[in-house]
Amino acid sequence: MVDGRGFGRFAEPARLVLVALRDGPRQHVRLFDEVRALDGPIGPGTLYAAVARLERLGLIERATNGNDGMRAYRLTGSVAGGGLASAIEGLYR
Amino acid sequence: MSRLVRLYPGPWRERYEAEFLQLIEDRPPSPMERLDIIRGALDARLHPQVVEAAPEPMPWTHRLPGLLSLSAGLALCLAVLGISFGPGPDWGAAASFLGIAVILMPISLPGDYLGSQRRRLVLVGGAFGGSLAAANVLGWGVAAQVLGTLATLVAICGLLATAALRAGIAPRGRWIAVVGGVLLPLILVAGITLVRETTGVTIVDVTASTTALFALPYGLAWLIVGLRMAVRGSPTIVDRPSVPSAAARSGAAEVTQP
Repeated sequence: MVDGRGFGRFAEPARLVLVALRDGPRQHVRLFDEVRALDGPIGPGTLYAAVARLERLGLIERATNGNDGMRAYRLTGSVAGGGLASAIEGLYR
Repeated sequence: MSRLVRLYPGPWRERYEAEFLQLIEDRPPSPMERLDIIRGALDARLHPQVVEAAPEPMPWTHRLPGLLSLSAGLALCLAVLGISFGPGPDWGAAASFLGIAVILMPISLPGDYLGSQRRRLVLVGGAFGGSLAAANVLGWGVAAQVLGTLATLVAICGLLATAALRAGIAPRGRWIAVVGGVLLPLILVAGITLVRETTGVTIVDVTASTTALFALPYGLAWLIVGLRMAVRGSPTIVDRPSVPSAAARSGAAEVTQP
């Protein structure tokens, strides 16, 4: 069963992920660095708990990073197209 | 470090393990961050965000080869039991079952999996054909009879091994099937015959009825292999090559969408 509850303690890390992806796709290590740069020490476990929730809700998606074939994350169309603020707001409901 | 990742549930690992391992390799976690990984694993188990993709239903035709192998094994067992315990010496019905088994065995084998087994097929086919050709050239003398027997043995073992391969049985299991189903009974018959010929001691009266019983393990092996093949499924040659789903191709579990 997939948990239908909200983000809980992962709302803030999820917000940081969305903010970090605002300017375009990020390879996962770089995403980790940027999220940490935004809000200090966030662990890998917390980051991926937020990433998995964001992916499940369709707010972010995976994209293959052309040259090295590594996977990157990016905002989905609706979020990237002006829905970022409402998406962030939704995290805390 | 990878031990920590093993704390995560399988579907999560299928989707994120590779990049997660790379992340903690590039950014080695502090002791506190290791605790964070453990908490993350606990969260992933308590509140799973990734679930396994439901397997696609198997076409019924994929069970046909297994059912044919199963039928071949059943027919062979019935033939053996008919010869061994039937009224005899007229084994008409038993012989019919034997004929059915001999026909069904090779019919159950062709499939797209053979494409990856070209080398083995060439080896087995070459050994079979070469033995027959050599026996023919030698005019069916003693040496030729040995070669003919060898060709038969290669065919019998090869058919069972190929069926076991199609059933997805590992190499060790295939060897057990061939040794237990063919070679061991054969060695037993040869040993009993040799003892009788050299010492005159009759361990078992080797008649057609008793000899047939030694083929029972072969029939049982086909039954087991056929059952596994039917349960597991295997594309037939008329099935289009299976195209795995995108999730299966990437080896990733699916993230459920709300």
